[in-house]
Amino acid sequence: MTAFVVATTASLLVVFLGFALDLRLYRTQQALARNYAEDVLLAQELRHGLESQLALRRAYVASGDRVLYDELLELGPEIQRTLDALGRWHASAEEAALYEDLKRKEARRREFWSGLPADLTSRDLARLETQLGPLREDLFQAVDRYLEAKKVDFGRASALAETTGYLGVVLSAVLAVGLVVVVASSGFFVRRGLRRIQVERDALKAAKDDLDVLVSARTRRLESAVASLKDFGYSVAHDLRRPARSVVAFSELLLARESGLDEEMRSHLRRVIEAGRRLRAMLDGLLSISELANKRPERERVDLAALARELLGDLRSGDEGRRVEASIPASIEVVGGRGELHVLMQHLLDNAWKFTRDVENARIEVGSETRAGERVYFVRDNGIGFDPAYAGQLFRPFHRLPGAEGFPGLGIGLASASRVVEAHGGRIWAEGAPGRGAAVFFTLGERP
Amino acid sequence: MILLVDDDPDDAELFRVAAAQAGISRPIRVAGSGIEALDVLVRERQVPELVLLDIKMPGLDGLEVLRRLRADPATADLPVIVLTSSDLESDRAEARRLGCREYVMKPSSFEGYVELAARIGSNLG
Repeated sequence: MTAFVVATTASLLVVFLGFALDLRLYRTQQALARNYAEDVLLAQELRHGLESQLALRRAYVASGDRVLYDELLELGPEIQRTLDALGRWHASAEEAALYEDLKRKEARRREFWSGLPADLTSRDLARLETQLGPLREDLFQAVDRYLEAKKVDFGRASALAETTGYLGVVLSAVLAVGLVVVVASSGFFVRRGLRRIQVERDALKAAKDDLDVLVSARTRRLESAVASLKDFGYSVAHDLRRPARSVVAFSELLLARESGLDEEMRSHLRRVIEAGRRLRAMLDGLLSISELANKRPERERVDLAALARELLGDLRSGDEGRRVEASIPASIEVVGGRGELHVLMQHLLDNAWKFTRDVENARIEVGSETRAGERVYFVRDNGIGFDPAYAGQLFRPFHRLPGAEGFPGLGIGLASASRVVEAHGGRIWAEGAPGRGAAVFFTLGERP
Repeated sequence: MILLVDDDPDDAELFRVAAAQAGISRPIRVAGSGIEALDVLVRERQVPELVLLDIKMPGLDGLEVLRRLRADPATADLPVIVLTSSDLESDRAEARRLGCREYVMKPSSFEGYVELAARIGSNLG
């Protein structure tokens, strides 16, 4: 690229210089053509005039013919005009000086003549010759010097004109070559630049294609890994239910037999049955979680407030001894899968109900608010709360926090809730403190 | 005779004991795979009063067994109850299409098996 700029600049410079020089030489040539030839002719005319003057005077002195004298007088102004014409323009300072000298000498001679009476006889003139002679000689010398200088300048100018003619040709050639070089080199550099751009674009495209292929391959692998993990989780939970069922069922079968078992054996058997049932319940929980995670929720209009009222009604009728104050707004309209949102609210309200068991003035609040332009829903209670240090573990399956030991449950509820929220494209988190209640917040990935 | 087709011997044993408790006196024959079931029904030409058929089995699965039974005029009218742990809607629909009498989920407890056996026993009379 740099080479291209330098070459172009240099070529343009050459073209510009050639053009400038050519223009300047052309003007000089014109000036020369107009002036030098004319000046040389004028100077020659001047000398001619002076020579004619001299010849006339000599003839008059010799013949005394009055006609000659009149002609001589007429010649004076003519010479004067020629001299003035020469003064228009000087090719050089030297020439100008010579011209001034010429003028001075002519003036001196004219001054001498003007001091003489108008009707001089030839004898008078002959007598004046001793004074006129040197003046005339001076004048002639000045004219000759001037003419010589003009001729020299003319010769120089002619030579120069000739040279400039050649130079013009040469410069025009240079100009043409320069232009050709500029055009050719710019073409070359532009082509080379384009080629390089094309090469880089190809390389970039190839790299992008490679990347696309890589990314889509990775994405496919990841998707199939996730899918097979989900399938794996699902089928493991599904398949383990049968041996768990067998453990429980055969133990029950044994327990149902009247004979052969003492009370301690029966107690052990009951523990086996209990463990088997818990295992079975956990597997059911896992199964429902993986079902929730695998299914894309519908987009229905669901009223979370109505759902919460219905679920709290069920909880109240199943646990009539408890008094729990509920605060639920008239309606909380959301868009999502009705079944999934039912599961979500059920788990959250079950937890709130469960963990306010030992609290006086138990209170459960369901609501929504806007945080940073996003709808956030929450279920808040004033139950036993939790240590915020464990907030991150709340949503893991089968993970129960310290303090929850005395409460029933497998640690499935919040894990399921989390799957529902994730399936809707939302987030879920919890805030709380030991003894000061808990609040579970969630979003549903709705566009604001 | 009742033919129970199930690859899980636990399930077969539970049903056998439950059937006894429910007072079913008919002999119960167990086939541990689809191939074995076809052996009993097609090659041995046994004609059970009822076939209890599991779906998820290695090799020939229950639906394929049912399809073959229905294709053979000799076995096309056999009463079949599908007894499975698969709650896939597609399995249920296919089993119905192939004319199973009932589609029953395997019970999750022994009591459930007893109830099931009692119901089957009363239907058989």
